[in-house]
Amino acid sequence: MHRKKYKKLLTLCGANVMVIVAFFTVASAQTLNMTLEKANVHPKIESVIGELEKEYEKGAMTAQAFAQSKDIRIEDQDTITVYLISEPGAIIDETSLQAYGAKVIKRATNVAKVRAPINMLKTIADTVEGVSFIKLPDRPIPTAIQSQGVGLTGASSYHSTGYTGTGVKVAVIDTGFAGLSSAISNSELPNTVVMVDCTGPECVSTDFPSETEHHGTAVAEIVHDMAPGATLYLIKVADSLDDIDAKNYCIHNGIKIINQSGGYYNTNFYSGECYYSNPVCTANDAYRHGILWVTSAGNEANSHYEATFRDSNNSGWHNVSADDETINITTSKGNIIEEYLTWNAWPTTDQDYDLYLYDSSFDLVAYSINSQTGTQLPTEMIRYSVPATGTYHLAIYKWSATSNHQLEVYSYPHTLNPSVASSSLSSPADAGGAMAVGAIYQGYWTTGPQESFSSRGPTNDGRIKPEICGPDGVASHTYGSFWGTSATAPHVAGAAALVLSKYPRYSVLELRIALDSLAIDMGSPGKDNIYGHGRLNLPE
Amino acid sequence: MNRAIILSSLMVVFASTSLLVLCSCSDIQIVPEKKESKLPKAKEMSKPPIDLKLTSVLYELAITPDKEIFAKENGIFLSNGTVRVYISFDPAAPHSQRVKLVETYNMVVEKKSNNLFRALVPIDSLIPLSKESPVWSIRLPDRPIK
Repeated sequence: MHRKKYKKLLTLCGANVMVIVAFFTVASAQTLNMTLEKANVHPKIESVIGELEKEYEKGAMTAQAFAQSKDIRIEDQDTITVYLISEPGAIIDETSLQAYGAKVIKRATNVAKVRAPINMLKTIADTVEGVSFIKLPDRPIPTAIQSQGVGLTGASSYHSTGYTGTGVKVAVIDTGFAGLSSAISNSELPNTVVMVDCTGPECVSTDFPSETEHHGTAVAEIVHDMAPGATLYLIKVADSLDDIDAKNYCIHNGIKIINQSGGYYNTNFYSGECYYSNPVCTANDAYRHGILWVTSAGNEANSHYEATFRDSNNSGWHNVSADDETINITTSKGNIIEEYLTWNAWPTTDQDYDLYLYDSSFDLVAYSINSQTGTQLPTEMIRYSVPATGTYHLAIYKWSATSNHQLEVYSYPHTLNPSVASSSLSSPADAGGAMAVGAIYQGYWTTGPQESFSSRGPTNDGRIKPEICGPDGVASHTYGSFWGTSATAPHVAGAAALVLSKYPRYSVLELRIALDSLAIDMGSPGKDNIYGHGRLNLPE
Repeated sequence: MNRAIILSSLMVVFASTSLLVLCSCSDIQIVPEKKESKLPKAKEMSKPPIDLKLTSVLYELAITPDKEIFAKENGIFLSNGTVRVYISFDPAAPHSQRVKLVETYNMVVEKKSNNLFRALVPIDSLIPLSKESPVWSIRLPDRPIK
């Protein structure tokens, strides 16, 4: 009995010894590996800086890519900013630092903030008196503001499985990028963004020194929230010809997704027609080059009017109703009214209509009376600074036309009374090559309804639009809350970057089909003119 | 008997009156009363000279004495006496003809795509340039709405 117990005890001890031996074998192997790795690390340089130096030896481009992946900013003349740590009481020899091309930015007890050439850091660590260690600067981790759309659309599930948009280039084409440095320092945007200005004769690199408009920055924030690993290109434009340059820049730089939270009026008859290098031509050409062009559907459901010209009393003025010849706009002193009229006589015409604006006393205050004699566009546009709060009246006059045309009126940014929500897309949301995005308030994300202002389809040639809906009214560092389809499009652009990082071989068509098919259908079954394919969805 | 005749006569009169009333009501519905327009009559309307192929706002800019104020009110970009415009050319106009116009009118062409140019044009040249046959139209650049 005792022998049996003793034998059992021996067996157990033997097993334990084997386990312990095995453990130490594994542990020593791990130690060995760690020792091997440590052997290549400079004792006075933070390991990530050492890695950067090695990458730099392979070439500046390789170093740049590595730096980007580690959130290190390489500055002019291949320098980076570091902290030089010194032992208590020791003084860093700044003369030697200067000799190695380093510049002291700030000093504090036992630490100096220095901008130094990457290839001199090892030399500085080895030879400059007083330097005991070189590390990256300590940076505060701010509480970043994240769009609710990240959680609502399922983007967060992509993030948690490692898909963040890494390796995908996304361009934000917009009219202004003010507040970038604040957004970057608060981690609302990555440290490294590519900034390009296409408003001049050609696209050039810039740091946007004198921006006043924040719109593009707010849009980029959302793309970054959705796809934090994506490389962002912020491209400034001011008109439709700048868009062409921006598109060409994107083609030449391997950008796969473009977001443009904006649209145009009076560049076609909203039927997706490409005339005279208009935004439809641009979006369609991007698509032909394998780029997904994501655009806001527009916020014009209440700011759009359409009807066929009718004149029941032969006055020459369009009858909005049996008794009324004007469309009403209520606004306040100091606002600017912009009114756009076009009719179905594209691309050039001799059918001539004019646009007039009257104040509340029916005194004429503004007009657009372009001559259409055969070579001009069928368009009129009024811009008016409002001197007094009240209701203004918009009227359409048939100057010379042989038939009654279909009229399209857009008002920016005012509501029209009456308005027509149907077919209220701006352009290039009407383009076949553009993915138009409508809006659902994030608080009603799963139930709807769509935002009342969100532009609706169909296009004037009868195609169903928008393609999809994204959330608006989301948290924004730039705006506090970001409303409108300008906020919804970058959710889709960011989502596209996530899908593309998961399936990098997807063509633009496959990417579009993926986003369409993943969307959760809302409203009428199937694609409809309010929700498109439904709300943006990225299932796990 | 007399009573019956009187009663039936009254009914005929009542029916006829009702019919007349109904007819007059339906007349009102069919032909609505014409409302006087609050807007000006056609003969009071006017246009810039018809041979000018530039938009009315650019025509006004060209003729107004205080161009800076007018441009500011209308969101028009001016620089050193020039205005930034889109010029649409006749697709059939040869390249040499366009180049000649650019030189003749001291334009600075900033961008072009097919037959559409974005250029800085001296304000004083707007009207004569718009009369040139290769020019189809001159207008302000298309600007995106956010």
